[in-house]
Amino acid sequence: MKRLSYYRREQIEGLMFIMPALVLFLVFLAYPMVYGLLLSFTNNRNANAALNFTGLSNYIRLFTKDSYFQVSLRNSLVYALTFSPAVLIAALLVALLLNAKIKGSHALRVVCFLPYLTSMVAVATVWNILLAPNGPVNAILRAIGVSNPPGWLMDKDWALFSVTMVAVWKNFGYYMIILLAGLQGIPNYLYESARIDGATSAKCFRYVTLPMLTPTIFLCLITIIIAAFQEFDIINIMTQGGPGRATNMLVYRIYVEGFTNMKMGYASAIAYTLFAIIMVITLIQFRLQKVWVNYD
Amino acid sequence: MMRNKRIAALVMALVLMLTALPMAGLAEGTDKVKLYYYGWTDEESYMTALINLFNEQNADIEVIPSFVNHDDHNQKVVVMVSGNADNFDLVSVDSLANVINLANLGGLMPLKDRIDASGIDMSAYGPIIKETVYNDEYYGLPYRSSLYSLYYNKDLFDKKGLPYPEKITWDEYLELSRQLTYEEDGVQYWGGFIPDWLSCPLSMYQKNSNLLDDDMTALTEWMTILNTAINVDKSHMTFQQQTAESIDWLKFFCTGTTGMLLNGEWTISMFKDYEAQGIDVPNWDVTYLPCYDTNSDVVSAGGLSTFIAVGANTKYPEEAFRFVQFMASEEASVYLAGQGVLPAYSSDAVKASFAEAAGVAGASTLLSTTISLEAPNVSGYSALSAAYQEEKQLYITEQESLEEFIQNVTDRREEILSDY
Repeated sequence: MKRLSYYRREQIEGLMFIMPALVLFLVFLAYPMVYGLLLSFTNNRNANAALNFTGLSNYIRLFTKDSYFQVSLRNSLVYALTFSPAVLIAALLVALLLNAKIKGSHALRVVCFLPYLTSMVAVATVWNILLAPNGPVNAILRAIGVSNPPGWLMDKDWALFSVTMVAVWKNFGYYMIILLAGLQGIPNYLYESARIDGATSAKCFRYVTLPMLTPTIFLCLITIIIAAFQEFDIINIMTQGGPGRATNMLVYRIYVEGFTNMKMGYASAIAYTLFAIIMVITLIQFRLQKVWVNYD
Repeated sequence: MMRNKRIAALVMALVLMLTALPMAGLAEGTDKVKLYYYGWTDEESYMTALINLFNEQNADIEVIPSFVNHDDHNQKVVVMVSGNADNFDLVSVDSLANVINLANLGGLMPLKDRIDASGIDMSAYGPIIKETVYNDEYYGLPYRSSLYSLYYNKDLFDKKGLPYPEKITWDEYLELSRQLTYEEDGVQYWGGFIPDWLSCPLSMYQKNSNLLDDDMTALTEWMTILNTAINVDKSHMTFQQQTAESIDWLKFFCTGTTGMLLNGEWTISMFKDYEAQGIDVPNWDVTYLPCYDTNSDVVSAGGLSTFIAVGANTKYPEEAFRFVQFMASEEASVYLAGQGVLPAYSSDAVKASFAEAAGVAGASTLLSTTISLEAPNVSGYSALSAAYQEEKQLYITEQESLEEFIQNVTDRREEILSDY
């Protein structure tokens, strides 16, 4: 029997090592993705039935006839545009604060990270009470002279903002930890050199901290924007897309079309539209990183 | 080293085989057919009792129940159907619309031939059973019927010296609500309570109308009733407060601070459940839904509301159908009625059992109300109902005028129905 060459044996062994991960990837990711794409060109109600292709009709309907999709798309874009900078800025500010050698900073880090660990159901319950029209937040606002405080989650003009605010509060701790790790990775000698050259704290931040932190900020920005477009649980638990359609976002729409209206083909078309939006935004971000991200 | 690894692998394989053996023995050792039933927790007490009764009567079959939260039930069933699960034998479905949805997914077994062959007395369901035929087939048999009525707290009526309501008009309902609304010792007493999730425009059905009707007069009248009760008279809790405080209608009514409650027949069985758990229930009774004309029969929205169906991929269709037959029997219906549940199957024995179980004088009004089908057998009606519910939320919270509400419902109806 012919013995396999060393190179060939190594190849087979390598393949065997990655086989479990590869099989899992193919079965649970690649296959559903390809199947979902095919499904988006059908009018299938059951994802498992024979595919009944209807061409581009789902996509045409999405952009020409489905006002609900257009509302959800607009809400998702507004949410992503407000949530992403807000959570990043909040995380960065707190990370800078906690990076300074202040008393109790370790305990504060834990406190800031706690909302991220808290169950969304508990968060929703507490914030629903806080933001009730006659709840504690409005009681404070009235006490300081705001005669007509907002209806927050009950008001169609404030609901999306309210949801964004809760999402920022819940998530900033996670990104704060990542940014804190980035901050602690900046070599001290850079600050020492800057100080010797007479740099103020503001200049140290502008010319040392910020440039050195850009790779971490870039990583956070990519994941934040993807997470923003994929927001579901906070909507499902706090508002179910209401009042009216004020907080109805794309992933919630996919869920309703797929599991309530049982239009799996149509839901897949929305999912692939969302995928395309995230892909384009991510590619643009990767293009733009050459301008502002510093890897030196 | 290599030898040790081989021995370890052999030992592990042996252990796996040995642990699998007892399980295989269990499966092979029993000659009972196992049927898996999926229901929701609100029905757990009486469905468990009925399943136990069926299992006792059928030595060759064991129905194994599984209950999940009602909100998750439908999604779980859709996932099981989409996954072609073959252990999905029996399922409760909470509306005709969902029976049709699941039938469209290919998830339910057609039952017409078996029903014809079995001799089930379909006349016991009344003429409304014909509304459940879809594509010339039955995809489930109803075991519960539903209708909305007016529940009231007798003590609060007594306190105000008001006569108990019997057959009252909507105007009289609003007037009573006003009289029953007051504050005492810092406690707010409400004239009535309309749950924010109630998606059925109740009075509209009394005008022989529904959400498909081009003439929006009946819907406008219902919205005016809601607006008067909640925003003008402030005799009902606002939807904002209900949502913000996560108000549970049943617990809230049981606090004894609400004079009247518009709700479905399930209220009776839930009162009984509470009583069984030792939770205080107010001194209550029930009567007809308020109406426009007290000289004619009262119409309420409702219909055949809960169905038992067989999974399309069941390995035991005969045995599964035997359970359907059991659920459609007078015996099971009398038992359900005895729990305060209004069965779909109607007979003198069932009516007597229901009236006795409810234990209140007004229970007979549920049996003499004319029922108008809440959700017509039309594809897309549930999506239309959801759109109405969203626009209603904006109108009742005064974020949309009545004209905007009507216009938005009309526009969205056109858009939704064009897709079905």
